[in-house]
Amino acid sequence: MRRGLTILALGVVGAVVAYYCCYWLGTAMPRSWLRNPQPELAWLKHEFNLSDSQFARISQLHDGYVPQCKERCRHIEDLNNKLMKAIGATTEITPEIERLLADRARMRADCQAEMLKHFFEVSRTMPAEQGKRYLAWAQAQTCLHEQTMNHADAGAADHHE
Amino acid sequence: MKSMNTDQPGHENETLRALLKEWKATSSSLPPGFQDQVWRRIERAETQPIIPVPLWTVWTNWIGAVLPRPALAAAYVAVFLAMGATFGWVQARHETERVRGSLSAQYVRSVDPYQAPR
Repeated sequence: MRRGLTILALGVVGAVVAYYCCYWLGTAMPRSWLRNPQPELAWLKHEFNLSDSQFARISQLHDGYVPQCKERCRHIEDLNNKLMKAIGATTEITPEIERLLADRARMRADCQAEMLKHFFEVSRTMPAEQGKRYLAWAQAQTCLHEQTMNHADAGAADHHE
Repeated sequence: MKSMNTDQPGHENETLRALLKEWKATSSSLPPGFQDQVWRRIERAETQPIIPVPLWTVWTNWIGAVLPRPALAAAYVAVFLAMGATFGWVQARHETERVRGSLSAQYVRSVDPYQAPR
C-alpha cells in the first residue's frame, strides 16, 4: 500500500512540477516584455523583429512623439469644452460655433498627420518588409482607418418605414 | 521398455476402477437429504442481494496491489508528467497571447489616444 501511495504521489507531484516548468518556460517571453519599463515597445521589438539599434531609435522616436501627442490632445480637449459651452448657450449655429468646429477639425487633421508622420518614421527605421507590415497594422488599428459610412443602411431603413 | 508395460491401458483401467469403487463407497455414506441441502444452500445464495464493494475499497486495493507493478507505475507517472506538461504549455500559450494583445492595445493607445483598439 505504501509503495502504491508513493507512486501515486510521485505522479501527482510530477504533473504539478511539469505544469509549472512548461508554464514558466512558455511565458518567459511575455515576462521579459513586462519587465521592460516600456512593455508596449518591448512587444513592438519582438513583433517586428527589431535589432537593438532599431529598437533604440524607435524608442527615441516614440519618446519624442508621445509628449507632442499629449499636448495636441489637451488642445483638442480645450476646443471640445469651448464647443460644448457655445452649443449650450444658443439654439442656432453661431460664427463662434462654426469657428470652433473648424478649429477642432483642423486640430484633429494635424493630429492625424503627425501620427502618420510618426508611423512613416518608425516604419523607415524597421527592415523594409517589417516596416511595410507595421504600416499596414498601424493603419488598421488607429483612427487613420475610418469607420465605414452607413448612410445606405439608414436610407434603406427609412425606405422600409 | 518394462516401464512402458505398466502404463498400458489395461493397467490404467484397473487402477481407475479401484478408485471409482472407493469413491462410490464414500458417496454412499452421505447423510440423508444431502442433495436437497446443497440445492437449498445454492438457492439461498442466489436469492441473497449482491453486496456492492465500496469504491474506496476498490481504490485502495488498486493502489496497494495493481499500481506498484513496474510497468503500470512507469506508465502512470509518464502519463501524469505528459498531462502536466501539456496543460502548462497550453496555459502558457494562452497567457502569452493575452499579454501580446494587451501590449498591442497599449501601444495603439499610446500613439492614438482617440482610437479604441480594434
